[in-house]
Amino acid sequence: MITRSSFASVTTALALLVGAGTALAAQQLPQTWQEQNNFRAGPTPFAPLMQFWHDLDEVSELVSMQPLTRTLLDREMFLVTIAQPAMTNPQDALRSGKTIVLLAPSVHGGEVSPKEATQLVAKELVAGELRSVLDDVIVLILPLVNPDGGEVRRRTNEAGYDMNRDYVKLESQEIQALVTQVLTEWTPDIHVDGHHGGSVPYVITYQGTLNPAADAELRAYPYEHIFPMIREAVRAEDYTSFDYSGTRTVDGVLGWGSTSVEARKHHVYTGLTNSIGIGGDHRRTDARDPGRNHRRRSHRVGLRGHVPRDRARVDAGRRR
Amino acid sequence: MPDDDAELGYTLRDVPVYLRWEPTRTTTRPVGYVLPPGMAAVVPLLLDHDIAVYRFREPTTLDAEVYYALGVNRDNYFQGHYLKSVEVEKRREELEVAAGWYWIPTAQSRANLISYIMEPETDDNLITWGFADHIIQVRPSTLEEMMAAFLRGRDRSEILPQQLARMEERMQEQLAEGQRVPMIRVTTHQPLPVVRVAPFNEYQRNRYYR
Repeated sequence: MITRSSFASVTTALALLVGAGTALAAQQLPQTWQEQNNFRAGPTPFAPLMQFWHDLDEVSELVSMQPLTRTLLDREMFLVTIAQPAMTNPQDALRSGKTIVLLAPSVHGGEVSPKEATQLVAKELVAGELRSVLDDVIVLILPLVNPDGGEVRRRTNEAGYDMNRDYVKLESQEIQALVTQVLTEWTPDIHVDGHHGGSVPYVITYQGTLNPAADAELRAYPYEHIFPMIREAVRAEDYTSFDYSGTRTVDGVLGWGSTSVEARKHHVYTGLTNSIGIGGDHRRTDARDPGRNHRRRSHRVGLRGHVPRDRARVDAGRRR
Repeated sequence: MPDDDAELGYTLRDVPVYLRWEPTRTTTRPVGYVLPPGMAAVVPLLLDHDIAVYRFREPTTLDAEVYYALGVNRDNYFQGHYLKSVEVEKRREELEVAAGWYWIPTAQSRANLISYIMEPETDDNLITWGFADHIIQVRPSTLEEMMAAFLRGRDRSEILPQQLARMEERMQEQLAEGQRVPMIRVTTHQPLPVVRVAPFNEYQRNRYYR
């Protein structure tokens, strides 16, 4: 989304970088599990997911990984940083003066598309058309916020917490680690909380902090500067995007409205702690039976260029 | 709009878009909040949230705004907690603070978060999640309900009239006073003999045993 503005200058910047021999050729990068399986094998399991991130860390000097914690089922969570030059500690990151962006995908285990899309974004950042973004931005990535739930496509973590409701009390291991080791240390300026439960017909839905207790300018910023760009970019690909989340009746008048804005949610908590919180949702492929359709169509990972367009149209026509 | 009868599961319609959330209650931000030592269990959580916490090192008297909960509701059960909400009344008091009480100034970067979780009438605060359960009890909010709870099925005639009258008087007092909310506002700058609270031990806290 940030990227669309800088497409024009990217080709020249990239050419310079390649000329200087610092950029990796795209074919040297590890393939995601989705790419290996031609986007037809369903959501990426945890092992190949982490294999991709470790491989990426190995081939690229811009990527560094540090362990955060271990989940109840002993899956290790990592924080991935992508920066030019590489960043391994928050002090350097803050001193650099660059904008820090955190991508925190798939806190709800059944909502798979954000973790898939994040891998492709990382590849583009390391050696692709997003590379020039790193001139101004440090990107922090949690490969997967909910490893235990993601493996069995369950909303909650192994202890039963819907972790997007845990930001006030910090009871789950994963969120406690995220808040104490990433949010308070690296102080990201922009948070993207990736979900996969948006409403038809919009491919992407988004919501800012909205809670009036948060800083007014920070609340307004994504609505004035970021969401219009997302809307443009998605429209350029012949899809539609709109505000999260669905129908809402106010004073008896049926309309379209956001979800509730308690501080316990990621995009609200981050607004209350002086950053820009964005909840981004990829469309739930069928509102009436999400589970079945996640299994059937989860290879459509919601990133432009990686879904054959005609195939998406056929799917849309077949829905029911 | 989702539409079960449409072929694609939705129809396009022009409807109002509700994205504006209006505050239901507003308050001025205090200089800080005082917590009694009974709330010590919440201090690690505040430190996790990157909130600076101080502790009174000697007794003092503060001019404070104290909330009293007149009604306590627990509506939903969620993630191991009965989510609570309270109706409160604010009274201005001379507060006797002993050494060991906690002081959380709002002059820090987490000010919005501090106010949000300390103010008792927000939709997501320490009371919501039961951090004050041992101090604020769910109890009947009318005299009849209180009396019924006291009688526990007995008839009024089984109780001595004097005792009944005394009970009623005490209940009325309790109802009028309310329960003191353990997050107390200090709205004016006053001398504060406090010292910064540091974590007892720096280590990665793992909640789960392995």
